[in-house]
Amino acid sequence: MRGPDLTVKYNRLIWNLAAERVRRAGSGMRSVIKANPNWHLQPRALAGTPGGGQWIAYLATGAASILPVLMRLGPKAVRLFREIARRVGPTLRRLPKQWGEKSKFPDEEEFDTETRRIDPMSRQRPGQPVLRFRNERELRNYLGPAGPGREWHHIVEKRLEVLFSPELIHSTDNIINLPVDLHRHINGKMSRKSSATNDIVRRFYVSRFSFRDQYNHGIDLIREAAEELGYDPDNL
Amino acid sequence: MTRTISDKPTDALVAALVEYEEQRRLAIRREDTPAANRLYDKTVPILKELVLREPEGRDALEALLQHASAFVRLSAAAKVLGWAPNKAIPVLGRLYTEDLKPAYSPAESGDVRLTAKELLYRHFGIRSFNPNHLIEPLKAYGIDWPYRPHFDR
Repeated sequence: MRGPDLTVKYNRLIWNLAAERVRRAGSGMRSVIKANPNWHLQPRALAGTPGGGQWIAYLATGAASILPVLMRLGPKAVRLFREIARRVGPTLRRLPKQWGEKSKFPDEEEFDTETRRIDPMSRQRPGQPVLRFRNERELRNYLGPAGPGREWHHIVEKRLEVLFSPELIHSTDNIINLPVDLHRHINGKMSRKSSATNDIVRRFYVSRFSFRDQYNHGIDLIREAAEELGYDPDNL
Repeated sequence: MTRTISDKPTDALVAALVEYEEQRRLAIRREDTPAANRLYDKTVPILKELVLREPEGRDALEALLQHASAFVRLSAAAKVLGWAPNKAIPVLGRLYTEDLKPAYSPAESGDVRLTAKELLYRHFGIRSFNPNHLIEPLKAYGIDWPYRPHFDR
């Protein structure tokens, strides 16, 4: 019979052998992972250079090696770029823009005083002068806060200022003061898909229209939404 | 094994369409736009498949023009408009002109009315976005719709 000491020694030997098997299996696995089946494609250093004929690192390794350099130079480069933008920006802003042509704006004569539409379609804010601004901040500074429970709503979406001129988007004609719930209701409609919008989100579908069509669509949407929520569309 | 839409029988597709439209209506009611759009995306391939199945798929869509749910009627009419406008236009006209409240919330009825109206705009080639311009075309289909002066102001 085996005594208790012998049993302990026996078990320890079994465990050591198992551990050795695991270690050897891991070592083999490491060799498999490390093996590169495309070793013949790996680039070598050119002959005549230090370490000529030796394997050289792939691009990723090279990129990793220049990362510290980029991290050291990055903040300086950003500061330099900001400084250049600060100095050159005003000159660039003064340059004539492609969209700055007068012909792209609807002329004042186009607004029909009876129907308040641009040719057969668009409308003008009755009795109000049309003021155009270069950006939303200037427009909002002019208009001031919308008031309690109310928000400013762009009739043609402000994200389209890259497509149309910013002066056309940020004008007193294109912004309207609406109750918050009506504004959210309209935004909900603009974010939904439907069969009438070719199965895409309405705002992306509408953004393909001309400015005038988008404007008239926006007015129609506001009036319909106002009716649905029980507001007087003539007195929002 | 998962069956694709084209393997499913027409009845199962119609049942799935009605179920998705009902879920979409509820998503619009709670103003959950992402969910409503996801559910809409699920209805699109079903409707396309039903349109392709002649005649039973198209017959099923025409039968859905009488469905109790305005959302189902609308999605069916949007497709039927392609081959039988005489059947679809009265349905779209009623969806736009009839008051769907109080059974539907303002968001739900607004969604149905807006879609119906714009499908009619497109069908009649109206680019003014003025619903008063739908009065005359809809009269030909027996739908009387009062003139609303504030849309011309």
